[in-house]
Amino acid sequence: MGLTNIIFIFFILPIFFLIYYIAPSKWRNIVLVLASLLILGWKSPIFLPIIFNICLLNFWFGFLIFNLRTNAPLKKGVYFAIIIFNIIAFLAYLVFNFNSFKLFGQEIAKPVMLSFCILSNISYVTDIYIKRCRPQNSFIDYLTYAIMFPRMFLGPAVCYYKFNDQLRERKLNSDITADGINLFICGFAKKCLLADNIVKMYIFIIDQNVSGLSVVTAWLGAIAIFFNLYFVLSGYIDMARGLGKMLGFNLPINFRPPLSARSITNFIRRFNISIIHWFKVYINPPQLKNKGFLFTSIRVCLIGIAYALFFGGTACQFLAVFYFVALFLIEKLFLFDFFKSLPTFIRNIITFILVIFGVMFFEQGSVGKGINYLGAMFGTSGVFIDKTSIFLIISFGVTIILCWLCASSILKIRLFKIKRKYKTFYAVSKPICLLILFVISLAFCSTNQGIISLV
Amino acid sequence: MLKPLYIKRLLISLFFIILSCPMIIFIYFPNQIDKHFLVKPQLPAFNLDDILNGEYQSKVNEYLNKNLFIYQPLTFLKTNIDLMTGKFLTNDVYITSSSLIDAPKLPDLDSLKRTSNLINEFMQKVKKPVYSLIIPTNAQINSSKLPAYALLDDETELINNFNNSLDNRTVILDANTPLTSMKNITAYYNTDNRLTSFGAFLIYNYNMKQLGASPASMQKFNIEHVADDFYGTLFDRTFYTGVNPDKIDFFHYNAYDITANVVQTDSCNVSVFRNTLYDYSQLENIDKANALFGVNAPIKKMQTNAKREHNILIFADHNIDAFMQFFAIHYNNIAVVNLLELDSCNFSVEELTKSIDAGLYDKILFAYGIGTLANSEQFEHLKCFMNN
Repeated sequence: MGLTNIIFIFFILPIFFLIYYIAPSKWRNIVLVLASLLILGWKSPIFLPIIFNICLLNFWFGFLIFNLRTNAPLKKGVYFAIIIFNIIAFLAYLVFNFNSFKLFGQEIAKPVMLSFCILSNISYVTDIYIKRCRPQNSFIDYLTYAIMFPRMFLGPAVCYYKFNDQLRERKLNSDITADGINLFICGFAKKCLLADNIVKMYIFIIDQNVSGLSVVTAWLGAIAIFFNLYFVLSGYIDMARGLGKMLGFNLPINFRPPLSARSITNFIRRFNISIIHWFKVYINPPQLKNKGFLFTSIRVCLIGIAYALFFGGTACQFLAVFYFVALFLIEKLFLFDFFKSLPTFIRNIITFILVIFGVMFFEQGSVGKGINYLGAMFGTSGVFIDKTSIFLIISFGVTIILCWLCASSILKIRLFKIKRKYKTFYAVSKPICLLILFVISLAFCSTNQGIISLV
Repeated sequence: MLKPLYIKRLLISLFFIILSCPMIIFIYFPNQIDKHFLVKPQLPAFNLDDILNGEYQSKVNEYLNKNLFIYQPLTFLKTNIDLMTGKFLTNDVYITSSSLIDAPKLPDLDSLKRTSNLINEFMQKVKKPVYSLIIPTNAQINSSKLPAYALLDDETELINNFNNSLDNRTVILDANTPLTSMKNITAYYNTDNRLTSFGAFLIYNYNMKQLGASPASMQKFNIEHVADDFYGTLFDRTFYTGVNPDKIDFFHYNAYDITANVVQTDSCNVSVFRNTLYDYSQLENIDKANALFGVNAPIKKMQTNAKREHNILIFADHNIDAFMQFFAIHYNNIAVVNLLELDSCNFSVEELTKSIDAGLYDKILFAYGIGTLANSEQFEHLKCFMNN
């Protein structure tokens, strides 16, 4: 069950919020945990005991590490054993997720996203190991952190030491709830209106013979992949942050408008911020700190490997990630000053084109398919524009323009200017526009149930 | 002037009202809201296997989605927004000024090959004259109504490919020529992807001689307009009201009164009997096109008072319904098997097909829309008829 599932929106959310807001504050974590277990177990109930037991083990590991604080060698050994255990759990999840799984001859639904649960467990154990915080006394509070449902689908990744204060005490008032609703609706609109629409363009293109695609069609497909990836991820994150706010949690920002990136470095700092930050915090061997460019590069590569593995670990994803790592390092070494001398809009365009190549590769099922598609983008079919391209431009033109506006800072800046100039008008019209946007998004969500997303 | 705090509280209240209203109305007033369903969504039966593989949850999601009172207005809203943004293809339906046209999902060459192999294998065992009638889609016939940049595959080539891969003894019937020759006849419904009585008449009139009888001309029929407010499956997918509803017509043969006894057997082997060709009770329901020959069922058998004692076994999809009023003139015993419907219940397919003795029939006709051939697995059931 995703955050745009009809049962979730109209049946689970209203009942959950009613119980959550009525419940005394000391019981709210229990309500959240029960709802999370229901939502996570909805599609694949058989994996629920596994998730629960992994969390229980890590909760106990936290105490184990804390109690070994006087015995440094043993503590180190136990810590690395726990990390290996969690990595094995993650790899097992990857295997189940990418292959069909049968139990006693019966096909089992694929497990829900375990990735962020594993990240949370590793974060918890590591923070206790390096003495950033003490172990959590309440298993319910720990579960609240590990499996809270807004975060379980696509993040954001949260470091335990930054989050644990919110487990016991959180602020909830009309301002925060309204901000949460605002974020949730924006995220919902990104997913239903933009991501689900633009992916139809890509699915239409990929159903054709790729080597016969015209240049314009192939580029439209690559742009569609990029926008779908961005709006699915940022839509889910905004919904997660919005729901988090409505529950009293402050979750970190994960995306800044990627089309405003002026270099690959700038793009990486805007895309999946929380996950990259998480990897930077936890994949940070002291041996590689402050040891010059070479060691920084090794660290960047390690983060890249972890990132590729996190999203599935296929050959294409590794290639794409190393492509970005290579661009990042080349930019740092050779091109930084040259890039800075170019006009901003040229830098935007170059960055966008470079990113498109990487994202296109990231989403292809195999290296061969990626190369095939790349060839189509450079005209291996010998056709620049055809009937398909015109059909796509006419059918999806408005969607592409909306995607471009929402993925860049233009809309944000315009709205900010309106807000500053027409305060009252903005204050009154904003909720009306949000509700209209929500209803329109519901229209697309309702008819797109079952749409295949690339993420 | 409203304070910002009050505006925020209003936003919060309205948001939760929008979230909770559908559920409250669904639980407390399930039947009060008028809903247009050709096929009423059913709550799926509780099944442990389906729960484990996630199928049950998907079906429940679909059931709840379609049964919420907001589903139809939201679909209507989405269709209109798509049109405003320049998309004339929404929910796989082309929207033109006069009709809704289904965007065809055509089979690939592999599935066509598999289907033709299964039919050829059937022909080897049965040893009766076999006829093939593959009907092009509405999009192909009415392609002139679509914008020039609409993407349509060449169905003629696909149909020819399929026909060429059938056994040499198969008699190929042509649906494309009669449908494309008469431009001012509505061959397909404006809001549905089935053939109208007129469309079926055109094909019947063109091909009946090859089936061994002279077709009755249009003058030999009294046309009865039984309904003029039919909104079909394509309307269900878009709720687009810019197209006029369809008329349902019955073609009554005026040379003599046709009597018919029809037995419909559903996939749970429950039989329903009626003594008319047309199922008039369906005119009270939403899917009025079912009045032509009854609701979808895996097996339908008809006995008529046709002057010639000939029998025909037909394997077909839902397009065959409109033909039955014409075949009733020429055949005493007609059996129609819808292979797709055979295993929608858990009843054994072999038991169901025992009632059809392929040897009893003089001719065997395969009549399918080209889109239906995409599902080649249904033709595996032909093996059940080879032993009868």
